[in-house]
Amino acid sequence: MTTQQGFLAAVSAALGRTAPLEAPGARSGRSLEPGGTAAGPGREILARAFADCSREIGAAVVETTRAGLPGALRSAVASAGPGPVVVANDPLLGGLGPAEALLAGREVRVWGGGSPREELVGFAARAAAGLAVATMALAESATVLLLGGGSSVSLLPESVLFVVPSSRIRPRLTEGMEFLSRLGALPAAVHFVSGPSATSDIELIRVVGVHGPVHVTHIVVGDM
Amino acid sequence: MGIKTSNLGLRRRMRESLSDAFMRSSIANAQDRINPMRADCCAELDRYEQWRELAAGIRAHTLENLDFYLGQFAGNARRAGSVVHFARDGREAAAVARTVFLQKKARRGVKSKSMVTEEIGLNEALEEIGVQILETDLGEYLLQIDGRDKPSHIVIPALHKNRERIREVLAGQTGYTGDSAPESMTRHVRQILRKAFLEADVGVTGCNFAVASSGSVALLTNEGNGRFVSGIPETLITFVGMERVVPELGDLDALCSLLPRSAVGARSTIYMTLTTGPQGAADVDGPGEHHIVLVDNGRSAVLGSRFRDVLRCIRCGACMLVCPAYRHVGGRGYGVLYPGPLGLALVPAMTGYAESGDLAGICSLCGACNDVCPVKIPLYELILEHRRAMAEDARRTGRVERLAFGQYGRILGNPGLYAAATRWARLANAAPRIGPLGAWSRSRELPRIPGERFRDWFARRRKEGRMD
Repeated sequence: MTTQQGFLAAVSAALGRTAPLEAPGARSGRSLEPGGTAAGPGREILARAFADCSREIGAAVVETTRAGLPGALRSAVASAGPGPVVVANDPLLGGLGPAEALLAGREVRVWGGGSPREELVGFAARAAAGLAVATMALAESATVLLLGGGSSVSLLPESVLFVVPSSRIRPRLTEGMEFLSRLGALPAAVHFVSGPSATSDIELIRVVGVHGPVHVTHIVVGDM
Repeated sequence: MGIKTSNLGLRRRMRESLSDAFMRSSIANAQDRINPMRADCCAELDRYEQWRELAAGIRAHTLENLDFYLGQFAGNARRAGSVVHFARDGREAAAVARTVFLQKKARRGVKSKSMVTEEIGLNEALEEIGVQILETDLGEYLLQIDGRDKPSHIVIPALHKNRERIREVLAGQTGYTGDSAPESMTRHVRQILRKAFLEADVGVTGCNFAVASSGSVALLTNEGNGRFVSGIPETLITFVGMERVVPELGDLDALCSLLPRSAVGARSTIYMTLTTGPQGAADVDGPGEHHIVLVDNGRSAVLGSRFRDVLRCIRCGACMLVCPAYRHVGGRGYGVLYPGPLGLALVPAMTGYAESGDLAGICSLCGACNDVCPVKIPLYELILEHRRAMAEDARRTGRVERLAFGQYGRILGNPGLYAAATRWARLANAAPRIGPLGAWSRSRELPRIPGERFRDWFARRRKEGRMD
């Protein structure tokens, strides 16, 4: 088996060096000069762009307020049909009170809480809906950025609801990557999710709902 | 599968491709539909040309400093808890996976679409030790169950199959009883693969980008299979072609902005997952064990050659979708894993001319590929360079070509012969369209040779006294 030293020696030799570089050569421009105004687009413009793009990529949009959020969540869960609901472990949802009370009448489970992973995955696999919160959202591509909280929550159920506080909507991937760069160490899994899963593998005909969720709803909270 | 996907000769492969009417119409349809979408989506991106410049710069810088960034990536991935392996060739790379499966006593693996694992023949290597490895990208799955059929495009692998054929295969192999609507067949496969994801012991993925500064691997998919494969099984093995490295997370901005736009005309893929080590104490997600296999398999030879720039490639497939030769030959006619202009530039540099030099002929040098490449690889120039290198090898100068050009020179150099040849050339208009001309002229007009030569016309006008 090849060692790191042997492997890198072949790469260095190909680059005309006898040993790997100690530091990389100078880089020219790492990013585009910022365009537009320094302040960037306002919250309403970003929320509008995020909602428009969400619809374009096949995600439903519900616009609500902090006060209307519990009701919006209950009605979105109701439209997912009967069955259990798996909820991400997130302080924003925690702030709405116990999930069992919020979604009374449903079998509910919050990700984590000391249960073995296998058991949680099994529960998420039979859940009708998953409820997660965007750490950040990107307007240009209607992308939801997820850090922790339970990846299977937004992957296994047929319907997934993302709570998107409008203050967390940023223009584009540039801001998403800046945010991750500032974090220092990354969690084991970071996900960028843009709408329901889809494929065009059969005769280039777009089919929504392949392995991941079939229905995705973005619940945008205007004053949060 | 290996980098070669066919042992047939070039002419035989061409004949088979050209006679596959469905394949040719599907490729033409894909080109005609996706190209305008790509153009619109790129035009909509503010300062697209500057983004391309930036992306090309990132890739070129990484390649120039690849030894440093590979070392940095390996160190940071280890710090995050991943086990990092190095493989000089495909055999070594496959051996790593075999060892992991054997150590874990794993029998079932799920895999998300990955070119590098095809290149190293991973599926075959695992099947030899009794592991069942299932492709989970819908297109790749359909190819796998259809007698391990070969892909026709790097992003849309089952492009050459029509829905009726797919229904037959699903019925024969999986007991499918539904209709041939893409929605129904996709739902059926969803059920089968959902079960496989939940039961698998090991997940195997490729890698779009490996980030040196954080030790993360980025995987982009639309179907969600990449998320399942990297997040559900207890053990994850990520194969990384060694040129996939980028210096920093910020570099993913430009590259991930251009990749889906160039590939299918979308602003973003539906899923992008960054995996940084296995699940730690503070994490609620992630694989229990994460192995990373860095693969050379001929890449360092390309890096050290005049063809280095082709390693900038981010595998979007845009060059294929604009290529007039690919339109007719289709992916499988190339007989190698990487078709189209990318394959012409890359594969001979990896394998040598004896193995795949004939590829360089599948190109009209129109240059359309250069114009759409998001990382500005000079594909046209690299293909031309391969031809030049081969032509310089005297043994490779074909006798037929020498003979043809010799005759041509003789005719041009002799006024009598030239006059006779041009006088009778128009008879070619009446020649029957048979043999290669028959196939060629089915989709094109043959140029017609005018009935009167210029020199005859000129002489006639002078004779008639109309010289003003």
